[in-house]
Amino acid sequence: MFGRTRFGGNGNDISGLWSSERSVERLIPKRLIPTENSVDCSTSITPRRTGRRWLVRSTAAGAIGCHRYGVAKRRAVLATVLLTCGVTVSSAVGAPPAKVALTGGRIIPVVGDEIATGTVLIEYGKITAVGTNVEIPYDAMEVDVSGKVVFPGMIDPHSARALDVPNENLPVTPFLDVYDAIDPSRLYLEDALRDGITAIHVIVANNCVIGGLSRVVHPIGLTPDEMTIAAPTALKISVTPKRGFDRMTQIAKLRETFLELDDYLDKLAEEKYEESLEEKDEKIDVGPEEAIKRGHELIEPTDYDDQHRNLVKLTRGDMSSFIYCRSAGDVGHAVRIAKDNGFFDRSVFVLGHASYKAVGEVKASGRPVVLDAQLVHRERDPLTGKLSETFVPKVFADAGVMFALQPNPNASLAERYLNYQASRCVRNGVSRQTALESITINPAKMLDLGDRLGSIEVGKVANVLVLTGDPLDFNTWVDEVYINGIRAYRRDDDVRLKQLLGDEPPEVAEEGDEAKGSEQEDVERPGKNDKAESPGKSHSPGDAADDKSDEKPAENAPGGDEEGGSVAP
Amino acid sequence: MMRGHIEKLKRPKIETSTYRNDCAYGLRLFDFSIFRRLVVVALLIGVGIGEVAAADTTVLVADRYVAPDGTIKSDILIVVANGRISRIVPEEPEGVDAKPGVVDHYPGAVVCPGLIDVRSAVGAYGSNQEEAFAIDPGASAIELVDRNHPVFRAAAVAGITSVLLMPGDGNLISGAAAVVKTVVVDGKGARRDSRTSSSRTSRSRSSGRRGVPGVVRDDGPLVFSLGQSPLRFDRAPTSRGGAVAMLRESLRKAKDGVGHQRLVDFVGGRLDGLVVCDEAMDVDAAVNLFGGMNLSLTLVFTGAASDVSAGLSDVFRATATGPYDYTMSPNALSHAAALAKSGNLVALVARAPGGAPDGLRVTAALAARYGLDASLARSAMTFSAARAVGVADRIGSIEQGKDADFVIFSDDPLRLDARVLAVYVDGVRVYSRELEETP
Amino acid sequence: MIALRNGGSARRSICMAAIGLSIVSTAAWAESSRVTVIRADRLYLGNGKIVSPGVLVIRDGRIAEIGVDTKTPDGATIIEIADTTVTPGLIDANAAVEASDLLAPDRRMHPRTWHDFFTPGHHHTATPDCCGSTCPRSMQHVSGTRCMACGFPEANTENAFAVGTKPRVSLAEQSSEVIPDTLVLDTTNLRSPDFDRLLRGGVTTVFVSSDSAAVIGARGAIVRTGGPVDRRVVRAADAVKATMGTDPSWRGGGNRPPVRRFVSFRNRRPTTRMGVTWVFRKAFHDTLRHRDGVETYGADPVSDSAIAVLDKLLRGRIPLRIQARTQHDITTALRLTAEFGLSFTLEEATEAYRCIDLLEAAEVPVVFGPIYVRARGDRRFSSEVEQSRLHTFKTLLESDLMTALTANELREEDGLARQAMYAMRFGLTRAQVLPAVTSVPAKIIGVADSIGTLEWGKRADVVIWQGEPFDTTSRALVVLIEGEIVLDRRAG
Repeated sequence: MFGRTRFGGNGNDISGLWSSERSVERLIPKRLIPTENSVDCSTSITPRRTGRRWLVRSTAAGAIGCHRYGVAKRRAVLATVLLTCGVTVSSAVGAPPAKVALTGGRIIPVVGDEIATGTVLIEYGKITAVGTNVEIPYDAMEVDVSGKVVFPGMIDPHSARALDVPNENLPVTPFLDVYDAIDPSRLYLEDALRDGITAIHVIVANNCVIGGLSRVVHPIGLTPDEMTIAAPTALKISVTPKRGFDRMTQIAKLRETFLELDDYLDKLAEEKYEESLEEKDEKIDVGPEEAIKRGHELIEPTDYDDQHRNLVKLTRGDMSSFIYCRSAGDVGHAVRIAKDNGFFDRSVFVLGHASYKAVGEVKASGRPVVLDAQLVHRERDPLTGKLSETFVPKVFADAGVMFALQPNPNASLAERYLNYQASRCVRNGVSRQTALESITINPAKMLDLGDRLGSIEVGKVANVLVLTGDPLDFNTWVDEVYINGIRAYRRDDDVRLKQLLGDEPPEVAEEGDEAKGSEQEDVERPGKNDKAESPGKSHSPGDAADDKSDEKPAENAPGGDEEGGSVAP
Repeated sequence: MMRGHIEKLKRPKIETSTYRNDCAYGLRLFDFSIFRRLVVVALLIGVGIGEVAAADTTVLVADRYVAPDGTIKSDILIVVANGRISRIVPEEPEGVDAKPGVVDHYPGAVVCPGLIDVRSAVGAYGSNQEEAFAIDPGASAIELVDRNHPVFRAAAVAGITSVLLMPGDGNLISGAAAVVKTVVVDGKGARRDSRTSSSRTSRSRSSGRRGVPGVVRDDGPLVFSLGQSPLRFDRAPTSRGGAVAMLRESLRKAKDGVGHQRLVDFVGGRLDGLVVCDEAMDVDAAVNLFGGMNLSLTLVFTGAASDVSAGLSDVFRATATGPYDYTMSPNALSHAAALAKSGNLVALVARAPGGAPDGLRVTAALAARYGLDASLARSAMTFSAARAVGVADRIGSIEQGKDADFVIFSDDPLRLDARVLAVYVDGVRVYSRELEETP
Repeated sequence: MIALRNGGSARRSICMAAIGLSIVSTAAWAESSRVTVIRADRLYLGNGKIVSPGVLVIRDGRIAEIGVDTKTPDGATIIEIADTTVTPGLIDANAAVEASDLLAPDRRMHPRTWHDFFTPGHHHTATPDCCGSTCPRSMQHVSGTRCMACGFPEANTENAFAVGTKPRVSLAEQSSEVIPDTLVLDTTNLRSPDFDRLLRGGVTTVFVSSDSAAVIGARGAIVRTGGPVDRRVVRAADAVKATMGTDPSWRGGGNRPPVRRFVSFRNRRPTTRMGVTWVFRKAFHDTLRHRDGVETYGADPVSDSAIAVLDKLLRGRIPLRIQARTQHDITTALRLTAEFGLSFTLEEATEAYRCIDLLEAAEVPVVFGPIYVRARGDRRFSSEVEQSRLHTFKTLLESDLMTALTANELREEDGLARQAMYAMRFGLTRAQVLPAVTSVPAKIIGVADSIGTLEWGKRADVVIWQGEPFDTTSRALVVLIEGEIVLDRRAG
């Protein structure tokens, strides 16, 4: 019933196009752009149905980088395709999306009571009605999700995994913006979608003094622009020593940065005042202090240089900050520095697992925290030799601190699921509601998106998951993901997942004969294409998409020669 | 009562006094200053006064002494002749018939047998680690001894008169250890002669080169090592499993009489052994390995952990633990107490002079503080240690016939404020605090 | 047989035969014996039957009665917790146990193998506040000063928290590739906290298999995870483990061809799969020739003590296990064992889904696991894991093969139970998975007569789970080994 005719025709139901070819997989979700009339943006440039898939593939190659996939002689074609696509895309952005009604499911809205059987109505990318008696508009697509669970899209509150490199080498880099480093082709994004994460706070990692600007993205889109939900979100600050620094250096560097900011502002003010006098052809008539005072009023937002612009925003409370504190001792420093420099009220503490010992300080500060991906803190008593294990979220839950959980990509299979992290909390005595909030509404609030994301409420952005069961049950799968009201993922069409689960042979059935031949050829030549084709190590849903496993197969990928052959009509 | 007798013996105004043999009791007005100068000179040239004194008999008198069981008892008079304890008079001094050549009186002091460190790396020539073969029973630590090494003197001043010198623990079987004294008292004839012609009869274990001064024992015990230390990258064994398999194989062969004579002797019970373990699991392995073959030996376990104690006494005739210091965890520090509680003979290890000179006493004091009986702690530095390395018939206690190695402490040696007043080796005072501090 | 189910009246069924037997037999027990009675909502007996609600009576460490409403003897210890399930203690048929306490001061402060030396993260990764170090001088650790006791800051305290990864030092003897005369037990630290972690995951008995660094490795051991240390060893010398594939070439230091290198025993085979096969074949050939009185000869001679073990192996008196991951290696293992008439148990079997038919024809028991998509630990560096599939275990279980599930070195919070949880996520039911972690591994490692199911007369290794076993939100509350409580988390 959720047919192609209703939803975007043969092109827009993007999840139908999963394949083992990485470029295609990466591309497809990104092509999902909300359109008013459910017309696929690429249909207008699709010359032939059989050739379409290859066109798509080439587009991906172009988008991800010609040095990897592209072939010079195809550049012209690609450029044309990209251009067309891009134009369509930009015209589509902002257009009202379709209406969807998810009916018959158990709704866990996180905020508000559970509804045993109800309907969620999505209109134009927003949730417009939730309840048992919802009138479904005549033009809405009705999706029967009875027996399933409707749950808000989960939010990864702190992740550098969409970046190619997590940290800049320089210690103080407030001028950086993750916008420039987000790689839409990262496998992590695909995994995030598959795991039900609909919003990712992309932020530089912890190895810094002052990192850069972060942004919140959803895991689909061709470019960072398309992916972006909100930006800039926060400035990353680390109180814990950057690699090679000790604590004193780290704190001194932070202090120095803000002192230097004051000096800079004074100097700028003085210059501005002098400039203003020069314009008026007047001579300085006041002392430097007065000049600075008067100059401050003359500074325009455009006057700040790159190094200081964001710091000014930060210290004036125009921007929030994510402050990393690995150990308990760092929390006090973080609080002090934030208070001294005026950004405390919009700060979020990102804690290492050992920081649970500072729960008192955190509680007193009243600020929310993002907890370490490793939920258990192990420690050996140096006197008795006894090993103790502390379940960190329980400590914060007991203290009543608002916290958000991170997935643990470095752990084995389960812990990379945010909902599994939450279920561990329940196992260790945290209340179910708190656990659910910690992966949905809490991170949304920390990102100042509490009014848009994180729950199923009327008026919120329709980032909604359809789960096969309770979110805290490990046997639950993400069946469908809706982002901005558009279905971005469907498990039935997740070919790679099916391969791993043995439901489908590794070869993808192709419609076009040419394409089919090419596919099989690839499979038969493992020596050449093994890695690129292999879903095992590098293409799995469990893949953490770390740099190595992500990059290596790409180098081995055969490039666009054969693929390009299919593009030609 | 004894006090009165001693009053007769000593010079009225000089508490620590020394007599020449030919000074009759009556000639107390002998000018001692000359002799004292002589002593100082002798000490300064580092030879010890044995040569100068060359005396036949010394009498040592103290208010308290450490008995073989480790308890402190009061009033003792020790007659030393030819470097050995010829007589002990704990109660009635009236029976003293020997004419003492030297009478040393230490009022208020405690006479303790010379301390023994059963795992030491004192004074070796270069590396003590032969690395070519993991099974190397032929090596002898005695070949390593560098008598001119200054650390011997440092150990002696701290009260350690004998040490067990071990070949390094980097082999499964590192060879024979040796027990040597930290000061060589070379009597230039008299003492050596007396030693060789001594009436000592039962010398079953300490069968070293009896004639060589400063050597208590040079033929063992045979040193085994388990754990990480014998593992090397490029020679067998590289793993604990391989180590145990190799050891088991060579012990099995030795039982059939194949292999180095020392190993055959060890398996046959004619030579004692000592195994060094650094981790608890290695102790388990040693118990399985040696216990399974009904072999008994001494365990030196440096990875102190108080839960490794039960059942060890079935396999190990003694267990040495240490060194301890104040930064260690209570769990580690209570290991000696746990060992003693489960019936082990406990010795202590300082690895002198690796740490502070008083490392052995610090170790003992901490062991006592964390539950080891005080008398056992004293014994662990002396008699138990001597028993652990098979030299209890010669050193380690104040008993008739044993070597006259003493340390005179100003107080109980477990008290860290107790100072070493004097050290005697083979009856000769090789260190005197009073003399050294007022040169 | 009644299938395990979560609900419904079927689970109220009773294991009649067992109860009947037990009632008759228990009369013979002495009155003074120690009796423990466990009342639970569900008893999963491990043989496919359930009793719900059920009572389990343990007398002198053995299971004496299983019933619905059995009378409680006087003086019995009663364990009764609301909403619990009782299962047999889980059995991990291929556990890699940490050799030593990873939280202890790092014994790699003096790198003794190149593998240590070049292992990333080894140097200078410790933090100044190295809380968690058991170094006796940890309180004196100062950044920039080397600790004489533990080697701080070289000691890798950060890694010390990486629970559940294989120790990076090879545990297998590396002076030879044929070392069946060594015992895994000698490298196993029975006091390792890893056993506590196993216990917390509900595992009561493990087969500790040899490291994969040698072609014919050490003999594994069967060990209990709890109880007094001196009573934990069930079998000190059990199956010999052989390894196919690339592991013998590089694990534990790495062999290499003798080119421009100093003379070392590492200049030896195998450096390829050909070499592995060669070493394997030569070892058994040498053994066969040894029977004829021909001494072992040629390169890499096999020691006499190894030959003695291999001889028993050929005569079938010692079981053989072979680790093989890829399809290629599995077929090689089948071929080589057929040559010498050996039967074996397959370990790892990552690509078994590709050669189920062959395995079925050879009737090879499989100890599969852990389930992963992206391997962790040392496996990460292996080229053999890229074709792993989440459905492999399901495929194996649905075939005719006797298949057990193992967590190998993975502990995390719940180890083997988590593997069972994965299995359920990837398409199996609880009733299918439970035998694969209880009765089947017991059969594979040859202890099925004493453990593996809850049946009369068997050793009372029992786990009491909160709720249902292998649920995300449940965990082992109480674990008993031989009727003695070795883990008790009732207090929280």
